Amino acid sequence: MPGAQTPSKYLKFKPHHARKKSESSSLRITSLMDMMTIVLVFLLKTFSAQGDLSATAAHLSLPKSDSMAIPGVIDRVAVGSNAIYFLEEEIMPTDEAISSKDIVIKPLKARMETRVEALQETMRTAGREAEPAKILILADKNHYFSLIKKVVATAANAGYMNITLAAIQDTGKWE
Amino acid sequence: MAFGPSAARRTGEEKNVGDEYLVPIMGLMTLLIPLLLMSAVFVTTVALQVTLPPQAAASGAGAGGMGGVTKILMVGMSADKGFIITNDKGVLPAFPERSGADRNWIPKVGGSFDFATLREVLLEKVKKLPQYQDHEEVYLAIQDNIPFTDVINLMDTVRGDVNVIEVKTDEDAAKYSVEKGQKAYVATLFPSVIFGGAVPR
Repeated sequence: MPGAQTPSKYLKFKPHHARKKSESSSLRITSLMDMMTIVLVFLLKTFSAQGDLSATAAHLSLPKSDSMAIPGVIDRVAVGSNAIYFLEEEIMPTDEAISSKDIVIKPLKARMETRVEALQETMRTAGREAEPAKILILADKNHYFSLIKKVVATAANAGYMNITLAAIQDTGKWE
Repeated sequence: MAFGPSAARRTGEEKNVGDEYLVPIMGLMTLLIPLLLMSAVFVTTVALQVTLPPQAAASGAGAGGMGGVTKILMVGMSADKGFIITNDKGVLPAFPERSGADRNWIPKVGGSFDFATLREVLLEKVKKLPQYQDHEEVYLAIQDNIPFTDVINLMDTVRGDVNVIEVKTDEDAAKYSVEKGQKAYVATLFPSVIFGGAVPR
């Protein structure tokens, strides 16, 4: 019976000290390395040099699309559920834009016009050929088309000739 | 020899020496993983081009109107009735074999828009009407009370399948507006979407 063994028998071999030494000296990191290698391979697979790393506005859930066109670095207007932002600056509450009967959102147009003029001035100063101003519209998927139409019309009125709508890529959305 | 292994265990010599060499690699991985996590793209944002109507593009004002367009193809989207396809001559019946109003409209199915049928009908129309075979533009007449997510679904549907081709010649580079050696995305239906017009009743 193990319990009947005398302590002196254990002391003879110093099992406590031996165990302690073994634990501290042989910390196994091979299994940790295996896990890290898997994580690394997974991250390398998901790494993309093309993706859009910019954060979208709060309270903004983009719709899904099977488009493959990647937006470039251009001006952005975000139509969130609470407010409309242009170049990260809050322009007006979304409700105000929805209730307006005018097809053009005036405060947004004023801000956009200033930006388009500044872009054109920069191009003139740099001696470059004038390019059509580009804008990306990030709109919440739950908004009605009436509001999206107003934002598109406002951008066109302000001088943005190249207008794109943003969505989350989902190539398998029809499956 | 018989006492060798047990002696080694007692003195701690059994320690895996290879583990010590893994420590610097672990350090490198610990740096690499947060770096890759920061730059990893789990969600990709894509862009859907909106073409301005010719009048607005010329004057830089207004988002409606169709002046100067001769080869119009329009898809109407009604929250109650579904889809209708028209051109500059009138309504193109979605189901010519049917009679009455049923032949013109692609109705909603279970309260949702029937994008699959719209796609089939558009492919059939393009096959039958040669003037639309190389046509890129489509007008979308969308009712104000349609959710934006359905608008994007409609834009995806009218664009059709997208084939990726590698641009090898100068001719193709000019045709697809990309540089030689780059990839071009070629849509099977209408890649150029214009918002405008009113939904027919």
